[in-house]
Amino acid sequence: MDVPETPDSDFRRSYRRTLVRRMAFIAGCVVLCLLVMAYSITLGTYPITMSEVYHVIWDAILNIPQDSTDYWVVVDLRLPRIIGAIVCGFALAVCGTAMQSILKNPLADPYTMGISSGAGFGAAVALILGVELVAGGGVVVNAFVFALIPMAVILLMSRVRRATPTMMILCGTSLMYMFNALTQLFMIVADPDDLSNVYNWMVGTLEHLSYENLPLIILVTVAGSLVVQLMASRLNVMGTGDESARTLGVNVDKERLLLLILVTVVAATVVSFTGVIGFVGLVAPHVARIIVGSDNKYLVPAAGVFGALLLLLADMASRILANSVLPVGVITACIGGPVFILLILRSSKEAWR
Amino acid sequence: MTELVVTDLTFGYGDDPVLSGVSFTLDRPELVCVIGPNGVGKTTLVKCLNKLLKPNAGSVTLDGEDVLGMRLMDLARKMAYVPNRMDQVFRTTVAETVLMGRFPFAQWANSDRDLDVADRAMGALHIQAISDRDVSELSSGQLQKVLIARGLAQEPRVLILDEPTSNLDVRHQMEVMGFLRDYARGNGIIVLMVCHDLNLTAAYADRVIMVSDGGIYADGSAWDVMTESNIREVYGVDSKVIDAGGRPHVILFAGGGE
Repeated sequence: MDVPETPDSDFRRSYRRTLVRRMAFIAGCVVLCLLVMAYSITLGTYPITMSEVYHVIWDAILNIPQDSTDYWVVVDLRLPRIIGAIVCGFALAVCGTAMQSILKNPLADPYTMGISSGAGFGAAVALILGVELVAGGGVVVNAFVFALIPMAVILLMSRVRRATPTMMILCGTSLMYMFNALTQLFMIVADPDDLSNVYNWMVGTLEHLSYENLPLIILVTVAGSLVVQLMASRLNVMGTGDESARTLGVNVDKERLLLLILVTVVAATVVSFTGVIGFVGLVAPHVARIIVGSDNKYLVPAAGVFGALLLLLADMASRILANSVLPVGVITACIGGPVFILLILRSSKEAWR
Repeated sequence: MTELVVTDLTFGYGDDPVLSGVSFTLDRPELVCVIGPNGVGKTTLVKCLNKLLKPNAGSVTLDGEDVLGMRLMDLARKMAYVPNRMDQVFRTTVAETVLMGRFPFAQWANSDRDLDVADRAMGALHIQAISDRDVSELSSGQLQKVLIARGLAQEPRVLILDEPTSNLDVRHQMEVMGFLRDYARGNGIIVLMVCHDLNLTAAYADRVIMVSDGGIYADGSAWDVMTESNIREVYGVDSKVIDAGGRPHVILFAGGGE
């Protein structure tokens, strides 16, 4: 090309400006996460002061053996929940971002794709009917297996004919309705104890997270997010349309399915342990998109840290407002909904069409 | 010089043949226009060249290499395609769109050279000033230029365009056609485009391929192809071809007859 090099063109300057804004958002969310975490760990029903909390943590870091209720409350009760909020928030947001980009649909998230409802149905089968798919696997294995069903149906469908993004999301949504209806049916015949367990599960809670299941969730989240991050430019290209993506070197039909399977597994893992935490997967990508734009290279980590912050705040709110009685899923939806609508109304630039 | 050879290309949906036995060779840096009435397979033809459609028979080779056997990524480094629209759901800027042209070369991060190439592609089409605008806010003329810049950012040896001028006003049409012709000659690449406008083709094309009923009806310079008898045979309309500053110019007669 015969145009001379212009290292300081308008484009280069605005490219650098955008980069700074994106990094600032990500860094800001990380700092806020740390602050909220530091404060959140001091909250709870058990009377223990802030300095005592940090004393316990300091001793734990120095590996000084401790045997007190304080230690148990802080390290075994509160910490896993806080770590869980961060990891699950991050995972759900990354999954939501990837699904929205893969399916080119602003409504795509683990909920509308039927993953959460599938998990809910699986949990209901275990809790009410007492049927375990794997003996001893309990609610978690049931939830995980049923959460994968919508993706399996989409895969089967794609063998019969070419599966377009719209078909995929409609398929996921129909299965969501089916699973929800079946779960409701079970709940009618359930006895009150089981009912309350299922109910608890349906609204999502971080209560069941512990040092036993967190390593698995963290592993799946980190591995899945890394792959999504590595595929970020591919997601951008896929967003320009199928034909256009093919001519840019992306085998869209194949890669769309592979990526969808990957994020389905990540989302299914998370919701199998926490139950249906709605809204984070839908809202975090949109909020991040308003600020960092649609380039998935930056959107994926930005939405991830924002999702972590969101769930952390929701968990903190549930502990301040209602002594943990309110499930975190209720808070994310109740506070997230209005805030999101406000954001949509106030955002000057449209982040989506 | 790059050589694109198409031999006995046949394509059809089911038993319904759209193209049959199409052969031609492109081996000069020039602007080649594919013309013909609606539904004769112009777009089908160009989509068979870059694996967007899979021909039933025949071969396409690029510098001796079988295109149909190439990986999409390898093909994208040699051949670029400029669609005539873009279905973007989420806000995407002009710069982001043009930089996607670098994807076949840089699947992860953009190097300084990628930014340079994108920058120059935008410079060539005079769209640097709108680099951080959202593509969905652009006029169709601007959007077409953005998509052409994306194609140029791929630094292709063959640039294929599907009706790049269909939504543009006359000034933009002439600007784009003139640019593509000069770019092909200046950079030694093949530019192949589907065009609906007979007079734009006549005024700018170095070579014209006239398609009719799934085959090539005429192939050659604008003067050779755009004759009154060819236009009557292929389009079924009467016309008069005059000399306008050294290029043919087609005047169509309404009502179809003397």
